[in-house]
Amino acid sequence: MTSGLRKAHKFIWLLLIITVPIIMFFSVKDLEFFTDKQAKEMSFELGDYRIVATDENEVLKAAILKNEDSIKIDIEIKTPLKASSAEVYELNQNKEKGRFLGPMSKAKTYSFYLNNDATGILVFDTLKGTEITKLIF
Amino acid sequence: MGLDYQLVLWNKYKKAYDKIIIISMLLYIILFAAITLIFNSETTIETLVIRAFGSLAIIMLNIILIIGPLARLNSNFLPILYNRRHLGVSMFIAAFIHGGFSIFQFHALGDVNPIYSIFTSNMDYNSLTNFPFQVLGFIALLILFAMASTSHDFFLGNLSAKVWKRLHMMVYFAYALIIAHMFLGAFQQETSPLTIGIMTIGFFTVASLHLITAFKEQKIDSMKMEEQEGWLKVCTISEIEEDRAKIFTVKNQRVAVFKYNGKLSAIHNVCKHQGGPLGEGKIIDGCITCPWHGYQYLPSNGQSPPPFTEKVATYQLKLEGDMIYINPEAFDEGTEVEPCNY
Amino acid sequence: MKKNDEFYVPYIEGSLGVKTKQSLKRFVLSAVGLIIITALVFSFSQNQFKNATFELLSETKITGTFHESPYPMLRVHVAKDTYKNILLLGFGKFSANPYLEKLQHEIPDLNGKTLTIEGNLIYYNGKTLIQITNDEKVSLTKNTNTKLPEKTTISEMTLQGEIIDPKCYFGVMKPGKGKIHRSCAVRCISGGIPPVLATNDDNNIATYYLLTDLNGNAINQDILPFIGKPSEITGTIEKMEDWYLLKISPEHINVKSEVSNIY
Repeated sequence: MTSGLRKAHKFIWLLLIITVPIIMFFSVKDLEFFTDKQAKEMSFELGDYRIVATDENEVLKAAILKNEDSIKIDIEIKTPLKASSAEVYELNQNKEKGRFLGPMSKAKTYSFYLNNDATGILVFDTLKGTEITKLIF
Repeated sequence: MGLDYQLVLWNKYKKAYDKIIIISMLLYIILFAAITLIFNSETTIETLVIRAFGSLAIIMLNIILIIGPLARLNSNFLPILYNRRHLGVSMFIAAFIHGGFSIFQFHALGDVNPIYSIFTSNMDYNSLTNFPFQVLGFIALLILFAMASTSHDFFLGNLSAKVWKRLHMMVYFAYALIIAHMFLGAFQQETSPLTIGIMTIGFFTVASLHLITAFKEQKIDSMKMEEQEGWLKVCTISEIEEDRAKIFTVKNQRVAVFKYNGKLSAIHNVCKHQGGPLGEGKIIDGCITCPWHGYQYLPSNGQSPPPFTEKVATYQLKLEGDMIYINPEAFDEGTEVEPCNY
Repeated sequence: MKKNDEFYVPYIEGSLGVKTKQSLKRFVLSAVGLIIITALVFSFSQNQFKNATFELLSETKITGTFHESPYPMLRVHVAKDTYKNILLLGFGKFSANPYLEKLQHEIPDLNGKTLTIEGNLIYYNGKTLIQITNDEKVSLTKNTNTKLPEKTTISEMTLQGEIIDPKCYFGVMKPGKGKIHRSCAVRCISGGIPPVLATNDDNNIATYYLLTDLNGNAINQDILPFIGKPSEITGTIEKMEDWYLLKISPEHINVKSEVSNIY
């Protein structure tokens, strides 16, 4: 290299070691490095109900709740369902798809009233015609 | 130094060099992909490709940039410098895959031209953290493209070593752009102290190695020599090793004084090929051989042996006892000068 | 310069000395070590991807009532008294409109008509969209008018979230939000894909709002500068079956400097 090139190199690197750290510093100074994005643990609202049974799999957590005159099921979707639609059906005594309870969509807790003789629930993706999950109690 | 340009003059070292490059790149991509697919399987293939090749390119660029100063500080590393352009072209390919996928994914299939979209989809040019970071990456990619496409000796010859070197020094600007591209892009959203830490350490390693080398070289350049009736006092004969040279700065130019076969010759220190330091070379088969790529010159006239045509400037030496003196006025490139016999 | 007796010349066989070889070996091993470490660091430090889905390789046929309120949707019957409103989208970064034109030549007003559409489903967290890539795959099933979903005004509210393009956010790209994706979201919304405000409350429950102007018409170009940034938006919320709409004016969007909390 000629002395001109050597000078150019020195000048360039002096410039870089001053400017680049400034850019680095100002671009990261307001970043949140340790955010806790964990979802808060949801709990079922009991009221005068008592939990009869619970069931849980990777995506859902369900509890059968009973009081004097009714049975209901609380279903918590823990993380978003991987489904194009999600309709909840009761499983009848023959453990077949029975009465329609209601739709579910985003991740949160849903509540449905059940018949006394329900044997479980079925979550069904109507658009795709596939079963998402089944809970038998 | 070929007169005919072949695509690449292959030899077993070049093959080994390229094999190491390819295997290392594959290793990175496979590791990155496997870990992502196992531990974060909901990824999309496009995102996987963009991230794997983008991060690979910047890591390779860091490695490329430490080779220069490392070889200046320890000549054992010179063989890595010798094929550095292969590493450079490979790095460009990785960067191009990253850029190509990103431009297609984020800007193509839309209502305007994708290149126009890079510059106009985000107009926050007055903000730092909202800055359109893709523009920075795009400009850096253009620079890397210009470098990769002119990396062959064909262009080195046609553009002249000076223009070529200036063009290839743009890599430092590209490096700064890429760091800004990462810090204002990926790191704004995928904030991890580990990745940010690695890039920061990488930058300071590269920059300090370059600066250490620069200050060392500056010392040599500012060396003052004693003058005596228009001649400059160089050193004693015994200070130069046989078949080797010592480098001195004469009128701001570095000159290499070679000692061989009981003779002394001085030529300009800068190789015509890529500006390699001839004074760090060695006399092989009677020719001064450049340590960078093995270009050769005859010590007595600074000319490459036929059929090659490179020429460097020569200098007149004289001896007074054991002391060597040099005439600071250079002769024209390729001028025959009678070597000093001792 | 370190003293070195070895002198490597590329074209001279055997000129690679022992010490040079050792240095090269050290360099290569360090480089490979660096490659392995960085591959681990860069791959493991990626945020967890969402399970949003884009069925690029399979097509699903859906039948329902077409309506533009103001964005084209298909109201699909999924169970007793239950409908899912599926947002219609075009190929690439475009709206579904060009793919409906052919049918609109025969029936200018498609609102209320029953259509069958075959396309690629996109879905995440309870919302479903469909990409139409061919106007041959949009067909009229029933030419009689069916009831359209009703909109009910809820209230004026100030919401915090990020304006996203639903095509990418609900499945096509990951991450389909935030700074890295901003340019793409701008292109999508500029190309006619309906803008959506994604919000997340303190309990981490997400709500999505289709954005319209104050008159309930489509809004695209006016909100481009605000896309992909955490913002605070004041507007009037309407409910339309399984979707919320938010009537806004761009003056009522405040870009916030904090990090987006939508997931």
